[in-house]
Amino acid sequence: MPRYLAIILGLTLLAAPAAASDQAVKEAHPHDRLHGHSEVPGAKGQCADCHLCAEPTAEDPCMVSCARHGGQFRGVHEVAEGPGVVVIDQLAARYEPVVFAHELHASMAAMSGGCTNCHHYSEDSGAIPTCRQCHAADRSEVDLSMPALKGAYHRQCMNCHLDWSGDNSCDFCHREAAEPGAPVAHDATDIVGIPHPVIEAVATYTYETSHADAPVVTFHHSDHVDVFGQQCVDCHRGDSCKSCHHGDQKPAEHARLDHVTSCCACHGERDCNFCHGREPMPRFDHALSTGFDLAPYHAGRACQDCHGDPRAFRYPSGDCAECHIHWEDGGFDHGITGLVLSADHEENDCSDCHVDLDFARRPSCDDCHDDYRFPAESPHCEICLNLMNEGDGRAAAPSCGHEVRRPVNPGRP
Amino acid sequence: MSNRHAVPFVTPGVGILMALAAAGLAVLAARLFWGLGAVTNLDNQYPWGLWIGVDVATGVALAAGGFTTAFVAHVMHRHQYEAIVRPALLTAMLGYTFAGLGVCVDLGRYYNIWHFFVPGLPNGNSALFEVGMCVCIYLTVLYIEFLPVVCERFRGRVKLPGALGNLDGFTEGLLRVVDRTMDRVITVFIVLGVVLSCAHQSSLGTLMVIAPTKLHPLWHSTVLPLQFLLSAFAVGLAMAIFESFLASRSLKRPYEVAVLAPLSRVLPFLLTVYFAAKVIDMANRGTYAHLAELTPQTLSWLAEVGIGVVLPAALLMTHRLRRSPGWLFAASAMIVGGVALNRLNVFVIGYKAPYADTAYVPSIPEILLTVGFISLLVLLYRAFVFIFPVLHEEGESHHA
Amino acid sequence: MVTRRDFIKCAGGAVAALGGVETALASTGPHLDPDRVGVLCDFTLCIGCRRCEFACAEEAGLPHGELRAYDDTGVFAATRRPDAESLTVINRYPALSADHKPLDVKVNCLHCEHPACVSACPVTALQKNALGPVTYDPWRCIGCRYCMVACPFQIPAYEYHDATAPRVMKCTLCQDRTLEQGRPPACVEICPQEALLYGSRASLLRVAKARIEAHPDRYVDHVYGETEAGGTSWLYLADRDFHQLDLPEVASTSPAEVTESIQHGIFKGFSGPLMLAALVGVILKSAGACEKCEAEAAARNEAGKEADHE
Repeated sequence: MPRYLAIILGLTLLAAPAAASDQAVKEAHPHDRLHGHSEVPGAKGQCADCHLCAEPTAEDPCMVSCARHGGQFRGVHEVAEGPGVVVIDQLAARYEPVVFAHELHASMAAMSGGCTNCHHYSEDSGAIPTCRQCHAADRSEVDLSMPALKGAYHRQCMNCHLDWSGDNSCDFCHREAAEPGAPVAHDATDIVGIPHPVIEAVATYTYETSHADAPVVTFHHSDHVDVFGQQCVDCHRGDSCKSCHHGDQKPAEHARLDHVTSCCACHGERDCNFCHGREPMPRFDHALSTGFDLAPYHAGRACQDCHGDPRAFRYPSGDCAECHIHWEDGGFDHGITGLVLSADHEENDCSDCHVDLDFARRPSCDDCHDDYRFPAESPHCEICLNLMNEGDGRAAAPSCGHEVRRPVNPGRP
Repeated sequence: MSNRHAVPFVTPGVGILMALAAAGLAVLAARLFWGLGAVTNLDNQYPWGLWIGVDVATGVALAAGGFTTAFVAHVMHRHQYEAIVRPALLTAMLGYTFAGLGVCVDLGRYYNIWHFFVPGLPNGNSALFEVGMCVCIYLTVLYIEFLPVVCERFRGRVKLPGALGNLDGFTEGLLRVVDRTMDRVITVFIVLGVVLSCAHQSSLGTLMVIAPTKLHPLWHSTVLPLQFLLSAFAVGLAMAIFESFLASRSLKRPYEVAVLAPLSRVLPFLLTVYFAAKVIDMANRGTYAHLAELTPQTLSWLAEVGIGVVLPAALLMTHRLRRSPGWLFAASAMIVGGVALNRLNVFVIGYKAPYADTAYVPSIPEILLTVGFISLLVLLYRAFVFIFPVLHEEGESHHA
Repeated sequence: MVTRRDFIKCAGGAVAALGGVETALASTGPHLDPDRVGVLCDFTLCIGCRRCEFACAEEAGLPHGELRAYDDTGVFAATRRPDAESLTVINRYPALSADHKPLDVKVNCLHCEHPACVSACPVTALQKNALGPVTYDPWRCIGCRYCMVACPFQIPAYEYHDATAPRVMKCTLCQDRTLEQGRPPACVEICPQEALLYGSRASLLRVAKARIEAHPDRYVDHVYGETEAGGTSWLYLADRDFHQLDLPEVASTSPAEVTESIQHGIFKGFSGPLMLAALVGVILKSAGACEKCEAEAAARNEAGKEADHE
């Protein structure tokens, strides 16, 4: 790398022609990845063939997405985003066009590796190119190391189909073009728009292990899906059709993962007790486990909102402003809590009332005020009374530290 | 047919040979009409069988007497052995003729055999081309070498039938010219015969060098050509002795032990050299390990070397046994059998077809054709001996 | 202007031309084009659909059933070999483990770089084309079947039941298509999986090695045909040792090299036969001279005796 940079620097200083520098870069490229890339379709032999930025560095080479070296879009598309059926007719010579039930396959893929099961290359943006965008139908137009369109299609299909049923007969997908009595177009009504049946997962799995001290492992599948928002792909990425389907037999039960590998992918940092115990564990409760009650304001939030990507779990510091950045400038509408701050209090800093920024503990008036002589028109009474009327009244009573006199209904004499 | 012998041409034995020859010719007809597949057990795993192993390879080996006796009598000027030169020459002539016929029967497109002689078609790298070419030229040389015998038979006795009688004078003149020319050039043909024989006898061994994974290691070796040549030297003389005994017995002539016994003195030497070439090569390649396996191939190798080489060499080292017609015949028969078995081993028994389910066993028609051809050869030999002055006349000596 | 380099080239050429005959005789193999073609056959991609068997029979004009007849996987029960009516066959070998798929192996002529069959053929009916294919010309063939003996892979088959014009039958890499029309062989063209890849042998070798490097868990680190029998035009990739797939373990030199060196060693410029002829001539002369002097000595003896008598 230093040599590369030195050459670049030297050539820049000498204001050498761009072509010459490109040449030099090629010769002094730090890794031998150029080898074999000269045949990449569309490559012009320029840096920009592979690098997005003008000045790639070792730390940030800013590589373009490439099917062979990773860098694909790792997000998840919804099954419904894709087409229901794809008619494959670019290679129809001996056979009629193939009607491919995309939705069915997409819904199956969603339970294992996701779209990338088949769409091994996708843009960072998440756009999925069609097979023929890279794989030309004519073999001679394709680099030998890349399959042409026919090979690309068949390898995708047969890889799973052989796994699934071991059946390699062509007429599973194809109908011979000249077959007498065959319908003109493949009748695909039986597969169009029929996704894979939804698999009813058990809410909680309890595993017995051989550990004497803590034999029980509890896995709340529904928590992971419904609460933690995990996609099937996140755990079932390595699954193939064969995990569920054995030949023509329907799966007897939902395929079990190698849970040690799968769990540890996310919980690898945890100690044993996190999963192993003497008794089945209760479902996850944020307030009990962390002391931070999500109710009422955070109940609707997804875990990722605060903790980020599950694979890089992040613990919030407790500083509200860490998330609520617009509160820094006093942008918090305290009225949302039911207590509208009076003009006297509006200038207060949060920590003036919420000692140590412990929002779980409700501040009390006598934390600041020694006497309880409020102005006659003090809004506090109104607030307290409102709270008492709405709730059970217990919360407000001690917080103010004085006996509450229920005011006479102004409407009554 | 003029009879120069004390026995009639047709005997019960000759009758049997004729029947066998007829059966062989019937198989030949069947092969021509229905193809190789109909009469042989050859298949894609075993492309060569009995016909190549016996008719061709063994036939050529046993016909080596032609050049070995010629070498001894004419090149080394040991004229006392001339008595056996002509029978050996006849054996060689007929043997090579039938080897050529055997090849043609085995060839799928025998009618293309002329491709050997068309410039641009032959492949100089091919050992088979070299064998075929040498055999063809040598066969011609043999026919030429036999011309003096024909001349001797007919000179001064030409009497063509009917209208052809007018040509009697011309034919007589032709014979005279041929005889006189042959007298002058026979030496060249004898040298040519020796060279050609050495070339193709060894190249027959080269044929199987190209199949190192298929020929059993007991036989496969890059010095196989040398071994073939050395064994040809031995078997040529042994065959001359062997057939002399057979001819004497069949024609009720006295055994020519006085000529054969001194000739047999060289056999232990030739056999020892052949044996050494085999054993040194074996030690060199470490293939003796295979002898510990009790397979048909091992037994066949032991029989070939033990009975075909070691035993007759030992027998013939004794002066007394060499002088005994019985022992001399037995020893020469062992050598002939040993070399024949060697050729059969190399081309058939030792051939391991890598994907064969069942081993090759020759079909009845294959055997019939081989036996028929041998019978026909023997019959022709007998006919030639009856017609031409081939065998040493008692009390007179051939001119050189 | 003639530079030094030109001169050296020129002189070299002259020497080469002078040695041309020798070189032609001593060459260790046929002339090969650097861009000669080949086929890379990746057994791990083959699905055993047997379409290649169909396309091959169709192209070669051999008897064949309907396309769908080749769906029959019952034939995998026995290990098959190519024969006169099917120049290529697929054999199935059991999966290595439950996680693997069975391996389907295509068997046909490998088109050696230095073919033993070509070296063996006495009438050049089989020839190694410089562009790769080992071609067959039935017109030249005499039907000796030495090619079948010589082939280390036991590939050539024979029409034993044809009485008049039997042919040696083997894959010729669709010589008419590949050499004259520049199209890939029929089997390659029909292969749905592109388990067969047609291209220059050099680039196929690169592709094969790149695949092994990229998927070391999927392949054994061996491209069968890279060196086998001196190298072959067909290259194979598999998930296990090739001898488990009934592909023979053969030396890395062509069996033809040994026989050709023997043939050339003996017959180069007819030096062997000429030397032998000279040797025989010398023996003939010296033995004759010896015989003559012996005879003269005997005659002198006789004369002496007679003189004594008188």
